[in-house]
Amino acid sequence: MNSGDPLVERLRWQLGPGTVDGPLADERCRVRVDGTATAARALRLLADAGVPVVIEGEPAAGAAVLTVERMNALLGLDAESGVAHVQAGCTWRRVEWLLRRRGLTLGPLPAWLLERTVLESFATNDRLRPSPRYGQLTDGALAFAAVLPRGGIARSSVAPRRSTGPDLGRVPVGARHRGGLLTEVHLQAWPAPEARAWRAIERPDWSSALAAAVAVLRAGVQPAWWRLDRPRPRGPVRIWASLVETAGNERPATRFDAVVGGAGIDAAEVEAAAAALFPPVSPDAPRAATTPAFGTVAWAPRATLPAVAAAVEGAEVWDVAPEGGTVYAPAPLDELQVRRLRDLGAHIDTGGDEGGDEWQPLAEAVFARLAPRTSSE
Amino acid sequence: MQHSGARDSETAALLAGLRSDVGEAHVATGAPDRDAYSRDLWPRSLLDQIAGDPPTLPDAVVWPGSVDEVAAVVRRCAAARVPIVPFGAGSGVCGGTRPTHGGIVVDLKRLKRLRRVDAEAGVIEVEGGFVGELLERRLEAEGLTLGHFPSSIICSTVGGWLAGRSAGQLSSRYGKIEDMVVDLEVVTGDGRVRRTPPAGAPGAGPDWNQIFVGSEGTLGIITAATLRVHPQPTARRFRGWMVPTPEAGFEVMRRTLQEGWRPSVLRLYDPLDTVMVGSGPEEKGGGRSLGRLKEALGEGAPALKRRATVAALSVPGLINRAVKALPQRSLLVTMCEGDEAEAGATDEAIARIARTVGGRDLGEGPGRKWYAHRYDVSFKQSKMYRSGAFVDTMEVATTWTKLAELYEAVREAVAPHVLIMAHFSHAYPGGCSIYFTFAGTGRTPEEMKARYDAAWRAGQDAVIAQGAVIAHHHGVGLSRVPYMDRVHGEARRWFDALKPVLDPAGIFNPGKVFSE
Amino acid sequence: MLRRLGEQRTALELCTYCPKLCRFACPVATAEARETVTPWALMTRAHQVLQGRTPLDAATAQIWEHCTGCLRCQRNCRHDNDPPMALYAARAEAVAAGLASPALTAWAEAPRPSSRAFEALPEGGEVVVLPGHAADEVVAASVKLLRFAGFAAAGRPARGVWHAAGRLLPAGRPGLFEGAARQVLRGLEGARLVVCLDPEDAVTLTRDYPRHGVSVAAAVRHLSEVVDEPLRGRVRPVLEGDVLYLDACRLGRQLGVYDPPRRLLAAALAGGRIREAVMNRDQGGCCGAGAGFAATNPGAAADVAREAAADVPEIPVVTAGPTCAAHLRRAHGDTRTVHDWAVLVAGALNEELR
Ligand SMILES: Cc1cc2nc3c(=O)[nH]c(=O)nc-3n(C[C@H](O)[C@H](O)[C@H](O)COP(=O)(O)OP(=O)(O)OC[C@H]3O[C@@H](n4cnc5c(N)ncnc54)[C@H](O)[C@@H]3O)c2cc1C
Ligand code: SF4
Ligand code: SF4
Repeated sequence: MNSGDPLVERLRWQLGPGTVDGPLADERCRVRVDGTATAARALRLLADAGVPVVIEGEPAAGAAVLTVERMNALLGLDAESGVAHVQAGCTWRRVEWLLRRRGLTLGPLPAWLLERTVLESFATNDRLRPSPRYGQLTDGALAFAAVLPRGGIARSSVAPRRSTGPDLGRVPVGARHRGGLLTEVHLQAWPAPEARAWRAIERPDWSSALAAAVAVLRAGVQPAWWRLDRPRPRGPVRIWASLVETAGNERPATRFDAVVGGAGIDAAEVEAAAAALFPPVSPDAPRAATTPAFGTVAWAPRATLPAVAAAVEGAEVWDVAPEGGTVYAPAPLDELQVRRLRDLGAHIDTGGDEGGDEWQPLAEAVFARLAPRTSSE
Repeated sequence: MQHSGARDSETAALLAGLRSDVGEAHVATGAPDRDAYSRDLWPRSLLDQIAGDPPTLPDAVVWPGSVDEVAAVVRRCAAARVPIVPFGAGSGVCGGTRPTHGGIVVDLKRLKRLRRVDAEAGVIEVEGGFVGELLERRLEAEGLTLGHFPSSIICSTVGGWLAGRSAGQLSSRYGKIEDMVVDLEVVTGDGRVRRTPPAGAPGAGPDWNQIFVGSEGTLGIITAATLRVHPQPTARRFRGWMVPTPEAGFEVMRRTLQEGWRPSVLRLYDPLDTVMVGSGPEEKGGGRSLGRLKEALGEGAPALKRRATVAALSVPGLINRAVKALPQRSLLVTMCEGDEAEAGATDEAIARIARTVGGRDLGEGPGRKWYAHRYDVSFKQSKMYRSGAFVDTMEVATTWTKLAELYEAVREAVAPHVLIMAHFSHAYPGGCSIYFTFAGTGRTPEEMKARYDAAWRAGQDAVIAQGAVIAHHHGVGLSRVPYMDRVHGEARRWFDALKPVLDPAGIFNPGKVFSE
Repeated sequence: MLRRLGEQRTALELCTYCPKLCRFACPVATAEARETVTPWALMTRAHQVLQGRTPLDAATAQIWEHCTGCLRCQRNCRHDNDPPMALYAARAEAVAAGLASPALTAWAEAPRPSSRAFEALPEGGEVVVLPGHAADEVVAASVKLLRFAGFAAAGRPARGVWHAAGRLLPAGRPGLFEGAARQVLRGLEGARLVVCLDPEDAVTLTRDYPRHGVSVAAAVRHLSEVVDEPLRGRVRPVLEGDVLYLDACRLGRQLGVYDPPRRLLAAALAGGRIREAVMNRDQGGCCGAGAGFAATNPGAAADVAREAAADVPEIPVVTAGPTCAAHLRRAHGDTRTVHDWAVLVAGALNEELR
């Protein structure tokens, strides 16, 4: 049925039927793209028409809302290199499920990541999968395709590393779509592990727990996933670690034990926690309700990390590296707390100025240059 | 200055200002300085020099002694709109420091403080002008290592590594330089000193660390960096494997890394390079011309060698065909490190995998030999050029699946122009780089340049046609600029958006990385 | 035309075509942070001059003065190339072209520092002492060491010879050098052992003389080599705290003498120990004074000296070359104590055991 809106008709004609469901002015209207090419066409048409675009977000007056749920295919799988070419609208659950069926994995995916799309993770640089063994999901792309805000298609060749100028693929990462719409990613996948061993140990405080964690890394052990928490204020700090063993590589758990001593927490409790954190990824598995309501995320350098963790009630520490780590606060911190943590050298994501004042204006200026020209230009 | 027109009084004023910024002794306009800074180690510049072409001279060379002085120099040049070419040690091999637009070369080597060593956190903060070998020795004395050992460690700086996304010989374990960055101190085009948010910190894009890393002086000057360091390994295991084919070698490297092992060296030589490094007693085959070439490149009577080299290289097609007749045997050199347990387990894992592809264990010898001579190969360059030949390298990368095809395609493409061989020394779970070495000659310097250019064009075109990346760690500089638009397409717009924001006056290393 | 430089063609070409493989090693290029004075650039410029592509002008002649002859480049060169030898030839061409540097000439012709200890030595004998430019205090200490070590009859060379005239080579005066060398030879006639107080003289006699067709019949040794054995067990621990020992380039890298001076020095330390710079022994730094560099470029030479000692700050520095010690002292001013090895060890001798 003709909508009577020439822009909608042009979009439908270019993107295919069923892609735009109503007049753009209707706040229920969605522009559904199914791939890089259609996303490019849509963004170009909308840019030319001077219509602002909201990607996967709340409708705003006069803006078109573009969604990527149809952009959810596995475009290719290079099993030998372990490289999965996926559309950015895929959920992590979907990607992992497709990989598992071929004996591959992205590594452990905690429950709260499963329903997120690849796009969401990259666009917010969510860093929700700390893994010394496999790395952060958002760091592991071998290539990407993206549509620039004015509709151009940027594509990189597929390789593990390159030296061809700045890593331009990192412009849209964390940029909440302002640098462009990420449409495809080549992700590194791995042979599915033969076995997974869980370890959970306790240390009296943050300092000693973090020291133990770093000792593990120093010994060349790379947990597939780990996290530190402290359920009771001033109680012991626990390290939970998942150690995977691929064919022939049986050493991680043994080495872990050698460095920090064996399991300190009841095995059944560890198993139960593990099952809750890492539910099955099959599409028919029940959706887990464990999406963590993280309030504030802060990165702190090694020297002050224990103090930062101790200053936050109910803190969890993720992504531990010798140089520092990430502290997740269960509830949003107030301004005073944020200031205190910043005084301790923490970098805090408060949802906007996280790059620090001096970088924020630069980022804005870069995105402004990428943005479609407004009609007054 | 070329950039702003030949306005002598403005130039004089700029120089006077620079002298007041950094001190009289740290601004040079004399011929020896301008000449020494007219080129890096791009072999094409050497061919120009041999041909007697006039060098591309900067107007002056400036040596700031502190970050604040760097900032002052940037502000002054920005106001005058005079180009700045940041300069590390000039070991780049792509013409990155060639002052094509004149202007000021800013040598950063007076910024050579190791500001902080935090062994506990495993980080150092080091200034951009620190020369690599000197840094590594300092760290070694403290029981640490950066783990970054490019062959040019003896002639390059930390800032140059970061600016060009350098890779060291132990990259399989420690990563490339971009993997070692925690944060950077940079001077942007507005003359401000800024520190990037640390890697791993939550936050909005762009990822400034990964924007400045690889920017080759076009977006800012890297004055210092916080880098990850590691304890010195307490154990090392060396080994050599003779695998039946290069593909068998790929298999060993790939599976080792995908299983999660972290050897520090996995270095596979292609059949010709295997012959050249002389891995074992029994290499045969390849015919007379190859024998001549080996003699030419190896040790022997110098006069004889010169003639043999040129004779062999003047028929690259023939030699490359002879090479194809070589047995496909390839030497894989490995080094594993860490503590005893880790080094041993890694070595054993490689052995297990290597045996499944028919690899023959050559013992520690080849590994130890490689390690002892790991920087020696570059010394061959002088001998080659003295004998009337040129040599260069081309490092590219792709996924494992496409590796063999890329290797063949590039060899095919350049075969008519130069003799080519390769090794595979930077491997990752998803793919690997190919490090091609090629050598050629010509009857005149002009003919040499033409052959050199033809080989590069053919090689890079073949890489692009294969969908692989045109550079793994040497950067873009000047030599790869012609390919960048084809490779990046619309992604270039990101650079075009970054450039005027970070370098509003457009003074940083103009004409490099992307064409203007 | 440019005959002497022409003889260095191979060396020049090797460096010109080399990717700066000894870049890190050159103490001058490191201290000045300047590519222009790397062996690569110095040699390339000389090569360009030889090819007639660059004029031999004052600026070029001056740049060739930026080398101390430390030979750390050669130590790190798989071609075993010897840039200073080529650069001295280039300096000779500059002198021939009327571009002699007055400072360099003055340095080469510097008179012997007055030394009563030297003058007090009998002339001639089987063992002669060559003081070089050592100050009286050093000569006196050295003579004391020799006496304790059993060289009671050590004398001085005949014919007023007191050094080996090695400075004439870096000063670009090879002709004068050859004449002077023959003169020195006559002064050493009859000697069985020449004890050099300045390692530079030992290098000149054993390396440069033969290169110029002059051969010395006597054995040539640095002081530390001849007193090492005899004085073991006769040095008392007198100096408190750690010291930084720096190998003099000529003594260490060029003569291969590393341990004798360390041994006696260690014996003189009371509780402390010998600390080493990060780069030491055959990779050791340079005091900056060699080949006239401190005369032509005093500021940069002082930087070289300070860098050599910078890894291990504050504690006293000891070195076993009198000109090195003197220059290290000048470069550090009041900020640091610098001991001449001979003076330090002589002061620690246990007189009772005599
Ligand atoms: C014999 C030889 C072997 C080599 N082996 C390797 C190897 O194994 N691995 C490898 O990766 N590379 C290798 N290279 C290439 C080269 O050494 C590297 O590219 C190195 O990183 C360059 O460092 P540099 O300090 O010499 O930089 P330069 O050559 O001085 O500069 C390189 C580029 O970076 C820019 N730049 C330099 N410093 C800064 C700064 N502080 N801030 C901003 N921009 C800056 C320059 O403008 C230029 O564009 C080799 C080169 C040679 C000659
Ligand atoms: S001395 Fe040797 S290493 Fe140094 S530049 Fe010359 S040839 Fe290269
Ligand atoms: S001898 Fe020493 S100062 Fe002279 S070029 Fe060689 S390394 Fe530099």
